[in-house]
Amino acid sequence: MERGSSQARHEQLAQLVTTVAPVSFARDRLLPVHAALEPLFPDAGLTRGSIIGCSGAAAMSVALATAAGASAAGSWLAVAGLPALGLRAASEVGIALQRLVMVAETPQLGETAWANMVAALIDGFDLVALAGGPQIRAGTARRLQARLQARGTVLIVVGPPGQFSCDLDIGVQHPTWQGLGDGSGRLARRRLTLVASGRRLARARRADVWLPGADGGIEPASDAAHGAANVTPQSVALQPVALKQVG
Amino acid sequence: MSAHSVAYGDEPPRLAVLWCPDWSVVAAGASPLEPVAVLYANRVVARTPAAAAAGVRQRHRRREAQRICPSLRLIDHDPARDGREFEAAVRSVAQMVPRLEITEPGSLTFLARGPSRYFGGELAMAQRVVQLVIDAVPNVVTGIGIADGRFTAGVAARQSAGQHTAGQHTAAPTPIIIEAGINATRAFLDSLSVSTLADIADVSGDLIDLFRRLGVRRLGDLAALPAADVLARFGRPGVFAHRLACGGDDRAADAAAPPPELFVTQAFEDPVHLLDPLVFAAKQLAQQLHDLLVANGRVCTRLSVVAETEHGERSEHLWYRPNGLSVAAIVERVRWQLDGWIQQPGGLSGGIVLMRFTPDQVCSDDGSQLGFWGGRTEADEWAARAVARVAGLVGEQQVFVPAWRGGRQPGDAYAWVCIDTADVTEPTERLAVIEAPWPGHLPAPSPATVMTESVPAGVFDAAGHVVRVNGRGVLSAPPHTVSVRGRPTETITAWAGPWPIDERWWDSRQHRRMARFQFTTSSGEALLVVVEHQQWWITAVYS
Repeated sequence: MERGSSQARHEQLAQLVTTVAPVSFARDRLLPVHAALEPLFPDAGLTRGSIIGCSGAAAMSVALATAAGASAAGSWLAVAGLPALGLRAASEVGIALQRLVMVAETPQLGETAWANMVAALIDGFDLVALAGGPQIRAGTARRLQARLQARGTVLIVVGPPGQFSCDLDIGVQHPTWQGLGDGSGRLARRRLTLVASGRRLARARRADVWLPGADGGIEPASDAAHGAANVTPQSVALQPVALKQVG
Repeated sequence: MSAHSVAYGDEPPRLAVLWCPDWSVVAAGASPLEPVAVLYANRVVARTPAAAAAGVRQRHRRREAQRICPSLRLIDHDPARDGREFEAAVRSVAQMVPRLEITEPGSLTFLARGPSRYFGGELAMAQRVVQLVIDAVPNVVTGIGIADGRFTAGVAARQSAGQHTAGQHTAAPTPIIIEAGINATRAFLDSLSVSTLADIADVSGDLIDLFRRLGVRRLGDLAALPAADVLARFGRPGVFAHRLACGGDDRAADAAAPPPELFVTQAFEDPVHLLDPLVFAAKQLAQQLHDLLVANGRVCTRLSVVAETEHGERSEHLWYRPNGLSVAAIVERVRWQLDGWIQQPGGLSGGIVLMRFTPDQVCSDDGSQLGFWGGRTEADEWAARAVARVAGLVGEQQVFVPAWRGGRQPGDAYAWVCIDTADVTEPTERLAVIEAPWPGHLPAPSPATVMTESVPAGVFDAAGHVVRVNGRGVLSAPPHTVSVRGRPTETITAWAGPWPIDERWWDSRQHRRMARFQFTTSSGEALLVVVEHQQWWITAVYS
């Protein structure tokens, strides 16, 4: 008993160490991602200097989940033009809010000023997330891309990537919500198949995840759980507790 | 002498502290007559006498400082520049004083006894040192204090510099010399406020605040308490503060000179002329030294850094850091030292062939270093600078960081606050989650997209009538379709609600009474919808 609890504390401590250890700026070319998303990335992490596009119905969740691993490990995340980002969801999925900065959408900003702003973010942050489809010229996008690679920052584009050419596109298939019934229950968790495709991938890579999971985080969805996904919503709904909690 | 003031053993050494307030503006080359301030993380860290006269203080936010003094010129903080420029002062003082110890750019400490004998007394020596610094560095503001122990001498130096800034800035300051002996030291310290401890010795602000609330307002009040009771009530930090207030030494009790064979060195076959490879080598040496010390559970508080050129020129500095020198801190100091040396006119004539780090004082590592891994990470520094740059490009009102607010709605728990009212690098305060229950808030998972402005929607039952919710939370009919302006009508596949909330009923303007629903639609989307005064709104999307 005693031994078990001390082992649990060791594990906790080991986890804490990985959480608080700083990311070194040396040339290690990968930023960590959450374990459940590792199958999507050829190197099991975010390649520094790459552009990742998140599209589809769950683009915002996927973008947050992609950034969560590195953010928790000590990287800073800058967000530009995404004022609707849900901070509570971000903290549930694992983003370290103390290392998050947002630049509001500035429609009066010209293209040059916008590019300067993004370049300044690229210089200082490991992760930069932008709203998709900025109206910029291809040349501007190329210059920013070159800067990304020089600095080793990862750019995450939420929505259509516009002029940016993504190294990896993460799309969503078969989103299924659980927990909501016909006038009962509440949204409990969502199962998705994430599909990563890109220029350097011979074929698409897939990962089945719960995003958000029951506590708002990311969980890998095993095949056993897949059976559960087909059960009618009412049977898995957390009705009594949930209703009390929310009502 | 009271009975407990002798509790702290051996007498502290006689030290002289030279202190240059607002060193960063001097290093930036600002004229004292022009209002200039240096900013770090949006806060003033140093300002010129002209800006000080206008009312600009340290820790002021950028906007506050600009409001007080509209003509203020702002300069970004650059620690490398501070360290490099301080080299001139260090070298000029090193001509007459051996074993200088540099705590940070702008602050020098040395043993007073030897030089004062040689130069005919402490006052004469102090005046000479100050004159040397004033001659070496244009526009410098400085002060010097000589006393028993680092803390007392530091207070004296700050007082010396303080009277000086109040008067003319070109004249040499009057040195403040506290007589040797515990009685004179105590008489000097007793009337000072306890906040002096936070300003000079890095005692935490929380502890000072606690002292104040307990009625311990002066250092004399603190020193009058029995040491054992202070230990029992305030623990180690309390004892440290008490020791300083009693005029004791700030060194840890177990600080000692390490064995002479403990040092790390690197000789370069080819003389190195560039700074970057040297700093890279310094990083490896620092890591070696750190590993050696850590193996014994020790940490270096004073380090001697020696560099030699092929022509035999030599730069040796002692660096002191009360919390221990981490690898990053060592590398930073080596960079300051070498950069300053290289930039000096006539500093060195050839490449560097040898670098040696010798710990001069080590003490047991009690884990009191700042942060987990020796303070801020490099990533934090980069981000703080990038934030300042972006704020300059798009305006401060456009840059935000999250802060905890608490509330029932998904957008209420955390809010974006503008960086001119928040600290980017000190998130503890703004993100401290207050564990107050919010009955009626929706449990996790939370929506990833929270509309900045709610979108009006129409929710209809199977017959095509608008669904209504009465005051008792009863629906007119189950919702069947939802339509949002500009998008096709969608069928509701599952729903739950209503979950009514009645917020701020005590405030007629902010009172809100509404019912919330969750819908999933035929397109696979999940929505958080509210109905308020019979109008439906989409407030968040579980995107």
